[in-house]
Amino acid sequence: MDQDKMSRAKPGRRDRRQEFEEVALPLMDALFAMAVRMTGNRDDAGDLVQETYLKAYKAFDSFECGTNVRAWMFKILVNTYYNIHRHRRIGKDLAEASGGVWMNREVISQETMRAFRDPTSAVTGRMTTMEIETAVRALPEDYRTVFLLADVQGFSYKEVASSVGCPIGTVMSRLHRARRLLQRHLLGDGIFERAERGEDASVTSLEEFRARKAGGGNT
Amino acid sequence: MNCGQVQKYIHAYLDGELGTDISVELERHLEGCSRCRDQMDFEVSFIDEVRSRIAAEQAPSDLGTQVGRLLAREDGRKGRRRIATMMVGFASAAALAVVAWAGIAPLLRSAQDLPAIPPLEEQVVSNVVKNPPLEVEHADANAVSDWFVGKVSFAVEPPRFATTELSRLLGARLYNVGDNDAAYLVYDVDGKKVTVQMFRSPREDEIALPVGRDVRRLPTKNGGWVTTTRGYSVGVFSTRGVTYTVTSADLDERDLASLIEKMR
Repeated sequence: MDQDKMSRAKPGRRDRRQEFEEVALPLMDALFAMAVRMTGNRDDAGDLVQETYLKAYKAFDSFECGTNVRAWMFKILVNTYYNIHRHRRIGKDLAEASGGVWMNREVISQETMRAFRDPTSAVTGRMTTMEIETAVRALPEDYRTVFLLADVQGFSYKEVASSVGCPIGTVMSRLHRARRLLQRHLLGDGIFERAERGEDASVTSLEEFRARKAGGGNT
Repeated sequence: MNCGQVQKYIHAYLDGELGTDISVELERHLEGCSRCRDQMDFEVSFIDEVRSRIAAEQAPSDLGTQVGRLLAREDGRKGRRRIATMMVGFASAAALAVVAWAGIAPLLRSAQDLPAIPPLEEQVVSNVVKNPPLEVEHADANAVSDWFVGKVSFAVEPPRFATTELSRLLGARLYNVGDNDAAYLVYDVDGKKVTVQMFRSPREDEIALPVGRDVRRLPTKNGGWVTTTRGYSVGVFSTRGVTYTVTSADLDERDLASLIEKMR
């Protein structure tokens, strides 16, 4: 009986590995791209990707076929990264708190919008690949992760929330702020102008907004 | 909605992530506000520009090979563990045959002692005695499950106790049972503290029904058993490759057994 068990177990494992490799290996470039921008260098990124694959493979039995393998792999990657660099997350609330101050009060100036439509302007000239990569690297870590998952990898807010382990509302505000920070970095500090008086941009959540609406607030 | 609020929701709207109600309000504002329409155009082209210029990365050519090797090694480790377990099985079977033939009882113990690890119930009770601090305090099983992703090599689905009494999850942490990473979950079941430790054990002998010790079988949990050690009742069973141990000082063996039978 033990003999029988062994002869059955081996091909079973090989099939399982083949199955895993078929669904997971095509994601390697995308995972690596994410890992490079999270870790900041290719060596650490390679290690992170390897660790991700090993963890995913060990947990593959619990993976339900038909669910999104791409989202699952990215979730493991993000989790693995944060497990290694957990200490760096200290102070993220600080970054989040200070980031909100100017962004709700200032809006993109019309001049900037006009300049952006002109391909020969100095504003668009700054949007080079290298400048963009630098700006992404300069984002606070939690914003960067959300930006990379949503804007570079194209995940939905729900999938990003699941990967990062935060509410969807937090994804929404982090992504919003990440994009504003990129705009400021790439297009210059001068692109914003203060919101006009009477424009109440200080609403902090959908619920609050709805509550205010329900209470007869002005639109 | 005013221009300021459009600022707030503009990105979620562009991403198609804003609820219908609020999208309608935003669109109504856009109809009458050329400035916000301009801004919408600007945001779209900015994001497109960034996306198109972000360089596609190619993984180093040897990374695939390294990953393949890593997975093969993982399979090898599993295979070796299985063979080691089998050999222990053969050895105990052979020893048992000798014992039965000679009728010398004390030898039985040395045959059982082949795996040089403390009995599983001792290991899990010594964990519980240490009363380790919880790393996540949450009653929501899904949140706890998410917390374990990437930390242990199996999906942690905190079991539910389908009792008429009030039972709730107090929290969890990462821990070890022997060499295995374990999910350590603490429950309050009708005022009684119950600890569940889940792990994937490569050693089948580790969780097998202990021969010659005083244990109660769990009829509905295949191969599961309950015993008492150091004042704790301990239940052990495995499903789908994951071993569950349930420990409580507040329940006797019989009550723990009936609690485990009602675990989902």
